[in-house]
Amino acid sequence: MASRLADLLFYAFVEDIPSEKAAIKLFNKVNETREQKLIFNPGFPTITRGNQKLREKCPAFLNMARPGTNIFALTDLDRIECAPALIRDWFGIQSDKEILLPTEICFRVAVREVESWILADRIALADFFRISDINFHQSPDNLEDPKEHLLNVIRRRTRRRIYRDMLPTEYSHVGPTYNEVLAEFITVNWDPHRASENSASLEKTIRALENF
Amino acid sequence: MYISSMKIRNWKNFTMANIELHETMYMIGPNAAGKSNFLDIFRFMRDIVNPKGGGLQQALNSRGGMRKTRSLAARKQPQIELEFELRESLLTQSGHPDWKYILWIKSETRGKHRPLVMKEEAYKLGRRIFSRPDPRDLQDQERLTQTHLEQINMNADYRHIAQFFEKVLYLHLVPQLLKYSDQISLRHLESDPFGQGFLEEIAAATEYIRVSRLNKIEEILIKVIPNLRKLRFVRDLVSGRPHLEMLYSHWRPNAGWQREDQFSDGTLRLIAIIWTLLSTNSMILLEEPELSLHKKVVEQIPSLIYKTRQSRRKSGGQILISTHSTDLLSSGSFSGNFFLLKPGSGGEGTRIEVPSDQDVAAMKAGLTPADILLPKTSSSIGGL
Repeated sequence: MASRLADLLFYAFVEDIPSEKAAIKLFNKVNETREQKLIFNPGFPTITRGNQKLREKCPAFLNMARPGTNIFALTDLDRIECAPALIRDWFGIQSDKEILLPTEICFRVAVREVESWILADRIALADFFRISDINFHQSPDNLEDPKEHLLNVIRRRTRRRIYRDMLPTEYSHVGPTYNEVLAEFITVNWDPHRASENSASLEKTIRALENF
Repeated sequence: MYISSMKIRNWKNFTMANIELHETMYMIGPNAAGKSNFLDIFRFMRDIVNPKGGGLQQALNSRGGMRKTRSLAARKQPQIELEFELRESLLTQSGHPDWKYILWIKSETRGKHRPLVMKEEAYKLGRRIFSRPDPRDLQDQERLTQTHLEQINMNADYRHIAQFFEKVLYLHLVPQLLKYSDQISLRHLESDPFGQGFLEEIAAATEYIRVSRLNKIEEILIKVIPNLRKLRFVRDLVSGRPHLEMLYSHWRPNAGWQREDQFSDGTLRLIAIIWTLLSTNSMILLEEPELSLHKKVVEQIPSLIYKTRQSRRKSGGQILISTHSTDLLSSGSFSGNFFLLKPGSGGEGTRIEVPSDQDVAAMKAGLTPADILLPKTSSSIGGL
């Protein structure tokens, strides 16, 4: 009799609300084809608010990773040169050594921000905002500041109050409804597989989760 | 003495819990999970044994009677059940506890519906000292309106238990009640949990003890309050009322002793917390010590608790702390254990859980309780 493999439980750490929703969506999507399901521990993913807090935890990730204790972390590359450089820096791996993290750690970097993963599904995004998809950049992984790009499109092309309120005000980098609207889009409309065709970092993340 | 384990049935929002306790316990849970209700068990026991007009009837009356104290989720068993094991040392949890006390309470089925003792037992080193209801209780139902524990002429053989609960100290200082105690005339609660009588408590200590404790408090406050130079205790020359005064360094060298009504809320709470930690070696219930304090101070509360208690002459004493604070739980060096309070779904009572082996390993690996435990208690909180 075939017995089903036990689910893999994850402690998961992300930087902000859009990343949290993206992580949940990715797990759900990947689980559709996985026999051994990837499950977040209750209450996770937890939002660290800023990459510094996440970076501080990396040494602990190395210490705690062991069979049965899995860790998923998602961070934005931001201004750093490339993902391997960030991982070397955060985990203290010297440049002459190979990057080899424990198999229980799934550490993923969005190039350059999770917003580029979202922008990568521009068909759904255009549909969601009821504007044409030519407004969105074709290869968002190449954008220096994907969030700025997204906000610019919203600023120029949308009129609805709820979208206008996504725009930053004097003291914040995003507006009061930014997270809420984006969370709704990611959860309901965003298609990670379609998006992965336009974003290499997302495509690698999905593959990593499929093969975990 | 310490409470090493407890069983709870049908107490407020707990339908059932069997838990082990350690010297320092942090309780984490979302709002209205029952942190205060849990602490209230110990205050309830203290009210029962309170020599100044306590007792079972009074303890339940002040909580709105059986109907408000018994769990709403309770279905089959209508009674409240409390069971405590007490030990002189917490080094081992095996073997018979030094003391064990069991109290079951039910409601009178007719008449005034008074709370009645349904079962009461005490054990010393596993040997039963008494068990109720006894034949005399069956003859005279009135006897069941009181516990043996509350009666000095009955509890001689196990007075240690009564004394333990009598000394339980609950601290939830509300600075405004202390600052404006002249202007708002409120009834002082029996055990003064909200700090109205805090100054009198300081005044009641002998001068030697008072000076020594205030010096320790001053030492800590100087580190966390910018420009503070001195803290002292004085009596008002006219009214004789006790006061605390602080001196700040500023450009007028000879002016400026400020009295407690000018202290900040955070300062007052910090003074009260440290005083309490220093003053007792009995059980302390500390409600949200992080309130009104700066992040940097809050982060240091766990080590403040640890160090302050190390510095006392008498050792011992258990401390239960309820908190929501990420900063408090971000401390990397914790000495203490944790309860996670999880509200039940679908009308079930709150569950009390301890960190899993995985959680413990993750914290040992370098993550903090805020990273690992706080998320677990937030899964039932939705976004606005």
